[in-house]
This record gives sequence, C-alpha cells and structure tokens, in this order.
Amino acid sequence: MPYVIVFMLLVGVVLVVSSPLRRPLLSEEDAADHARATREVEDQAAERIELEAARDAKYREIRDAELDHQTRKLSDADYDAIDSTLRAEAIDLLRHLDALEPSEDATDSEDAEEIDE
Amino acid sequence: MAQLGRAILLLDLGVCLYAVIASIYGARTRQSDWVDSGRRAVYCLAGLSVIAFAILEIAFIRNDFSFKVVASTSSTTIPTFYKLTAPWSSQQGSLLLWVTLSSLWSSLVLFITRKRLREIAPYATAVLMGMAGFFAALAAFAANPFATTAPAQTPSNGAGLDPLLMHPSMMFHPPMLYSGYTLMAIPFAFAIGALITGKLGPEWIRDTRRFALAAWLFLGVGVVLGARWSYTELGWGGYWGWDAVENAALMPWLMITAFIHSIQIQEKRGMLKVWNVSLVLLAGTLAIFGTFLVRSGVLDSIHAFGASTLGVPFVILLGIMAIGSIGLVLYRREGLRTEHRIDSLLSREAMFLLQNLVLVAMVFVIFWITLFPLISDAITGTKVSVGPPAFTPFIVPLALILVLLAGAGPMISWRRATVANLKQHFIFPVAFGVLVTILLLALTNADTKPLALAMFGFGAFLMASVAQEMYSGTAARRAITKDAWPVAWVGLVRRNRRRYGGYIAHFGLAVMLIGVAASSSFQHSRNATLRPGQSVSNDGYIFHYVRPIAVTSAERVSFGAVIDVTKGGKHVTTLRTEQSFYPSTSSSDGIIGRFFDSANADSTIGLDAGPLRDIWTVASANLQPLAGDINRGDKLFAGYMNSLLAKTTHMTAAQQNAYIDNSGIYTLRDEAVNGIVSQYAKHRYPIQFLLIVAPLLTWLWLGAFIIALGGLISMWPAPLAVRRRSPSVSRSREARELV
Repeated sequence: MPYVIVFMLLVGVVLVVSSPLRRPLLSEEDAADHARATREVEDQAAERIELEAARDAKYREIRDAELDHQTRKLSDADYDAIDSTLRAEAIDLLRHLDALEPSEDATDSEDAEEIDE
Repeated sequence: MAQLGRAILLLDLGVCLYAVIASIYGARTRQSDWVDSGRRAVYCLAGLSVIAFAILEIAFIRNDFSFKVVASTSSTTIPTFYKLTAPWSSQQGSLLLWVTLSSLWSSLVLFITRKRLREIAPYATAVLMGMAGFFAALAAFAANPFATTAPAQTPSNGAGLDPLLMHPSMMFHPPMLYSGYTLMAIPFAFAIGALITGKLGPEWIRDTRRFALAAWLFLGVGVVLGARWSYTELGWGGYWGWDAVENAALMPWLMITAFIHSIQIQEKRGMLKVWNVSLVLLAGTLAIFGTFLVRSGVLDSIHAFGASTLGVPFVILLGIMAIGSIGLVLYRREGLRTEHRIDSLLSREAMFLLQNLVLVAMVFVIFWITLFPLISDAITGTKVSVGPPAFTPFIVPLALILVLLAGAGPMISWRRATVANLKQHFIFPVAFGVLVTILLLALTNADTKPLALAMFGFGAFLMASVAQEMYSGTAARRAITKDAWPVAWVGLVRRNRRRYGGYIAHFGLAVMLIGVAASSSFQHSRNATLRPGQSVSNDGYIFHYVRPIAVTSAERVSFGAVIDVTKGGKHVTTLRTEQSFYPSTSSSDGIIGRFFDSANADSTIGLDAGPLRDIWTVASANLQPLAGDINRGDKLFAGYMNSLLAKTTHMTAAQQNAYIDNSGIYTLRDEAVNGIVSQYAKHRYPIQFLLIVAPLLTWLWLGAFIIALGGLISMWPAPLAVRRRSPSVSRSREARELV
C-alpha cells in the first residue's frame, strides 16, 4: 500500500512539474516564434508590474515627505525642492507606464490615495 | 506508514534537485517554461513535506512506538497537546519541520513573485531549494524521523518527553524560530539571485521586504518565548543567560533588524547597496550558523540537541554560503556602487546608518564571545566557559546608544535637517528624559546603578519621541480630515503602517529595555533553607513557609511548598512551588528509585507577576532523608521481581510481561512510592528556596508584545486598491495631480 501511494505521489509530482513543458507539437520555426512572442508578452507584463511597484513606492515617498512637512521636520523650501523632484520622478514613471502597450487582462492602475505601505 | 514517510523524504530530495536544475536551466536559456516547472516543483515539495509531517504527527498521536523518534520522545501518559508538539523536540522531527516550513514559505514567495523578478526568481528558487534539499538530505540519511524498530523490539511505552520541554512556551518556541530562520532564507536567496543576474535595483528588496519583516517577527517571538521558558521553567530566576544557543538566535535577529531599517535608505535614496546585500547575506548565514550550534553539539547548552554527526555537513554549507556570498559581492562591486552620498550627518539616513553600525557591533561582540570557548579549546586545549559578565560590558553601552538613536531618528527628516528644526523637535523628548532621570535620582536609589539609570532616562526620551511623533502626525491629519483624535490616529497609522508600525515597535523597545535594566540591576535575590512555619525577608517582603506539598500522579511525584508573602503586615500573595520528578527509564535507578531521579526533574515556580514587580520563588526538595526508604524499597522489590522472573523462564516475553502485570507488583510499588511521598509530607524536612523580587520585569514581556504588534502593523498588507477600467485615462489624471 505505501508503495502505491508513493507511486501516485510521484505521478502527481511529474504531472504538476511537467505541465508547463507539455505543449502541442510545433515546427521548430513555429516553436521559436511562439517562445519569442511568449517571452515578449511576459517581459512586458513583468516590466509593467515593476513600473507599477516603483510608482507606488514613489507615491509613498511623496506622502512621507508631505507628512514630514506637516509635522515640521522639513522647511517649506526643502519640502518644495524634494516634492518637486519626487513628483517629477513619479510623472516619469507614469509616462513609462503609458508607453507600454495595454495588457489583455487589463492590469488597471490603482487609486493613488488608497496605496498604503 | 514509516516506509511511506521515508519514501516521501527521498521524493523531497529528488524534487529539490529537479527544482534547482530546472530553475537554473530555465534562467540560463531564457525558457520560462522550465522556470515555471521549477517553481511548481517547489509547490510539490510543500505538499509532500506536509504529508510527511502529518505522517509523523499521526504516529505520535497514535503512540506508534515502532517509530524510534516516538519511542524516545513520547509516551502514553503525556497530554495530547504535548504529543502534537513533541515531534520537534527531537533532531529528526525538527529537521522535517524545517523542510516543511521552508517549502511553505518558499512556495508563498514564489507564488507572489511569479510575474515579477523574472530574472532573479529562478536563481532564488535554486538557492531556496538547495537549502531545503540540504535539510531533506540530513533528514533522509543522517537523522531519519521515520526510522523504526523491529516489531519484536518495539517497546510498549515510550521514554516520554523531557519534563523541561513540557511547557507551552517551549512548544511554540521551535516553530517560531524555524519560521524565522526559513523566512530569512528568502531575502538571502533573492539577494543571491540579484547578485548573480546583476539586477541590483530596489525591486528584489521591495518584493522580499515583508518576508524579511516576517522573519524578524517570528524569530523575535521565538527568542522571547525561549526567554519566557527560561524564566518560568528552568528554576534559576533569570530569562537570559547569554547561552550559546540563545545568542545564535539573537545574532541573525539583530542583523535582520539592521537590514529592515537600512533598506529604507536604498529604497528612497538608492544608497547602501553593498551594505544591504551584505547584511542580508550575513543574516542568512548566521541563521544557518545558529542551527549548526544547536544541532552539532560543539557548544554545551541546555537548548542544544546534544552531540551529533551533523556538524560537518553544516560546516560545509556554511563555507559555501560564506565564500559564495563574499565572492558574489566582490564580483558585483561595480554594480553596487552608488553616486549618491549622505547629504548631512543631521539626517535620518545618517541615524539609520549609525543604528546599523551599533547593531552590527553587537553581533560582532556576541559572535566572538560566544565562540571564545571553542577558540580557547582549539588553542589551549581548555574550553573556557563564558557567561553574562563577558557580554554586558559591551552590550549595555551599545544598547544605550541604540535606544538614543531609535528616539532621535524619527524626529529627523530625510536628506537633511536644520538645527532649528532639531531644536524644535528635540525639546520635549529631551526634557522628559531629563525629568524622569531627575525624579528617579530624587525618589529612588537608581543612582547606585548608573547604567540602569541611563537606560531609564534614554528609554523615557525614546517613549516621549514616539509620543510626540504620534501627536504631531495625528494633529496634521486632523487638520485635513477634521476627525476626532482617536479616529485621526487610527487613520494615520492605517495609512502609514510602515512608519508608525515602526514607531510602535520602538516604543516597545523602550518598555522592554527599561524592564531589563530594572529587573537585572535592582533585583533582590536570596537563598534560604526553611522548615514549615519559618520565615525569611527579602526586599521588605516576608516569605513564610506555610506547609509542604507532596503529591503523586500517574506521571510524576512532586515535592514543594506553599509560601505566604506579606509586606508591612499585609498579605501580598500566596505562592505554590514544586519540584516534580518523572520516572526514569534507566534500570540502574531501581524500581522505587526511578521515581525520585533528580536528573529527570523540572520545577514549577511560584510567581506573582505585577506591573511594578515580580515575586518569584522555586523550591529544591532535599530527598536525602528519603534515601534510606528508597534504597530499602529498591532491594525489596528487586528481590520480588527476581523471584517472579525465576518463575517465568519457560515463558515467552509477552507471557512473562502478562504474568508480572497480574502479580500485583506494580500496585505494591505504587503504594510504596505513595508511602514514601507521604512520609516526606509528615516530617518537617527543610526545603531550599530561591526567592527573588524583581522590579518591572513584566515590562520586558509587555515591551516584547508591543514590538511584535508594531512589526505586525508594519508588515500588514494594504487594503485591496480601488481598480478602474481605463488605465491610460487614470494615469493621465494622476499625472495632472502630480504637476
């Protein structure tokens, strides 16, 4: 009985780990095209996720600076300089996001006000 | 079942190997299918390990003593709760727990990052699975939790759990520690991945920050649970002895504390890349080093598993981790450079850096003093023992500086602060700290312990600093939202979890270190030998020995005392303390004597804990007066047993056992034990007590709770964000709002 269970577990493991590797037979050229297209889509999706994470982090920095200013840790002059820099960096990130093609699953942007740490 | 468990362990090993190969192959050839396959192997490892651990748990619950580990650490008489937690009291079971937790946390991080860190994640997977495979190999070949005895040799009952481990704290302590260690492997692995791939930006830190925080939280809870066990179980009255294994858990915790602070500098300013990656690599290596100390037996410790053959594999792993880490950092040193510099020494960056240096200095001190016995043994042939006096001259001043920096840092802005700003923010906390110090000087004898007094003053400064930050932040929020103070405060913390969770943790640090300073510097401790009816005083309290306790149960024999405590003629509390003796399995102890074996004893302390002081006592029963009765009993029952055995020479082992069971010898034995125990109660034998009055010791546990709460708040994920359907429209709106 234990050997039957082990065999079933082994089969299960093989099925699970091999599932990404099992795909319809393609010609070498088609397989290369498919792999390239898949890689491009995945790379773009990954880049979007990275940019969105960077954008969220930038919003947090803007809010941190705002809080430092409100609690008088930053002078008006220092706050203005830091805030301008951070906002410019955030706009740059938004421009990069805009430059990416929209994804099929519509990775929507998030309400900046709701982004917490 | 044991065969199934062992087969699963071997399958685990195969899955780990596959995951390493598939992930690296996929990364090198840029084939995401192979990377995905490697990641799925991690999920499979988690599933398999859970099944294997469940098999072991079932064996314990069913009292299957054919499992060697069940026979050596469990018995039919221990409560079910301790049966469930006994698996990790042994080397074998704890290794399996390690593999299980490692696979679960690895699965979680790889699932979360499955669409991100596409170049780093495969190498991180390889590292995580390499480490999991190491522990799986140890469990499979060196310390097999599924090893069994032949049916003819399977005992009818187990040896039972070490009485010292039958304590709630001790049962959660290992899972917390192992969770901390295995979680620490995650930022370690992603750091290695970042170094291999050259992707040295903040992305890998962003995605693993919560795991670093979780490692910090779990490891910290584990350390505190260990301290609590020491205080309430070991019977020496302390909570921290600078034991090698205690230090082994503290060092990675200090290192990861430094890391979770300094990564903020890298995230905000892109600085300290070399420092951060070195910190996390060191933390991961120290986590394995701590495991090595516990499991190898190189250093003596009550916490260790004892001598074993696991030392050499761990040394090899540590060597690979250390050399690999150093090599990678050197290889990527150009990429780790930053153009930015700290703008000003009066900046939060500078405070964080100083705080990091203090924490690393603490680790340095603890590391070398902990290893000193090994070093002295290697050089002189004599293993010198080290204790608290070796550590405190270094650690206490560093802790004082740490408290100051924890208070000062939040009041200083990023990049630079002006002197005028500093004056404005420092006035109240400094004044409060000075006021507390003056009051303590005037009203107490705190001046007799200058370092403790300094900790009280600095702690007050830190607490005031946090209170000021909370107040000013809440006021700023109220100015916008017009909410009531409590609502505004909750809103402030909710929207700035990382910052204010950290402030709450800092507050807890002050509470905890004040408790440590007070309880260690102003403790009154006294040994006294008392007969029933006698009293002794300690720190103004009168301890009156009311009556002895002498009880037997199926599991143990207990001797102790009831103590009444009064002060100024008023009753304060009644304490009950016992020393319990669990039957030993050694045949050399005698049929009666095995019930009075001091090597198999634990203590139940008498404790009255309060916000201002703890009153603590433990009794050590002197059983010497009973030695005569015990020896006579041993001789008598040995003779009786021999006569029974002489009549059973023609019987099988099972028939012999049944014959002896039916003879009534064990009933007579139990009556004899009860008789001896009752003699103890009737005679007024003296008992030795250790009596302690420790001020503010409860603040230690309270502070630890607050630190954990702050950490939990800090790592709590944001609520699900509101999502809109048109990305580019919302980004345009956001851009307009930013201009």
